[in-house]
Amino acid sequence: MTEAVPRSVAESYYKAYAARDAQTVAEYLDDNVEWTISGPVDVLPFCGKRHGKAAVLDLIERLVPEVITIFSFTPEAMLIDGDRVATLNSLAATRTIDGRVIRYRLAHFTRFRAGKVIENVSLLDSFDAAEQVLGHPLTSNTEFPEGDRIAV
Amino acid sequence: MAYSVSRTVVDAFYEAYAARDVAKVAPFLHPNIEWIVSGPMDVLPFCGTFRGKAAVVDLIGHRVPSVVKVFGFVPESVLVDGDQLAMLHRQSGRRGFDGRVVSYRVANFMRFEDDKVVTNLSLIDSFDAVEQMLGRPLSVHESPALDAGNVVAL
Repeated sequence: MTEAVPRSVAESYYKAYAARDAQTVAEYLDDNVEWTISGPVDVLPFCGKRHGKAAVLDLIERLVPEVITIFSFTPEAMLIDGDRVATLNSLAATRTIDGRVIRYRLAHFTRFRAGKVIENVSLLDSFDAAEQVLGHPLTSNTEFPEGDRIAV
Repeated sequence: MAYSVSRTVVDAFYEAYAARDVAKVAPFLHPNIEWIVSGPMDVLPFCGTFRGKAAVVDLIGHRVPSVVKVFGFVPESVLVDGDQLAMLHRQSGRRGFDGRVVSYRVANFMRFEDDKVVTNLSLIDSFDAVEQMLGRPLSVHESPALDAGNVVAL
């Protein structure tokens, strides 16, 4: 039987995560944590899979700030069910290269074991996020091939 | 006392939704439902904001199947807390116009009222979904067109 994560633990962890407080977040990461962010790695280099506490801390402390500097991380929903936590958040940040503001929604599905995060999957509207990070629309090259039109 | 949705209701709704059984999903939709699918509407026409039961039934029953016929719905996480349901799953389908298989992750955050879904927000890995729908990788490195007058001299 799985051990339920106490609400106080989940809330403390997410509070630290939202504040990008890597030192406190580290206390909640299992040594073998699996961390996945869905999205195009070539545009959003913080996407992809990472294994282990050190890799996740490197992601939070170095890889994400190299692309964006997060200044607002607002939770819209938090669900706790057994050993799992799901959150929906609004993220606002500036592009590190030029300070341009970007915003997108982000979901986390996290699994805890013995009070530590053992698994995280993050999902975002990656097309929207990629356009904002690139600073130009992708719609100019999203035409369907001739004859492949979708009728709705 | 605050309302909580029961596991029985969630399980019945989930079974109908995963099977894309519109007739069975419809009784779980609140008349004033707001259903949002985040993503580029010009490429994925099932994205956008849909208000009211009829609009959501049309979305699930017609709009989505005209683009992708869903045949796989594999749950990775299903959480129920109070009046809310969160789901993470991998959805597989065939493109409506050529049968090509597409597969991408979807997250749903739903809120229930009187055992009916009153709000839903769907997040999809939309970059991945768009590439699969187009059948080719997106070119992200091309320069945007220059405005008239912004001549570049080499």
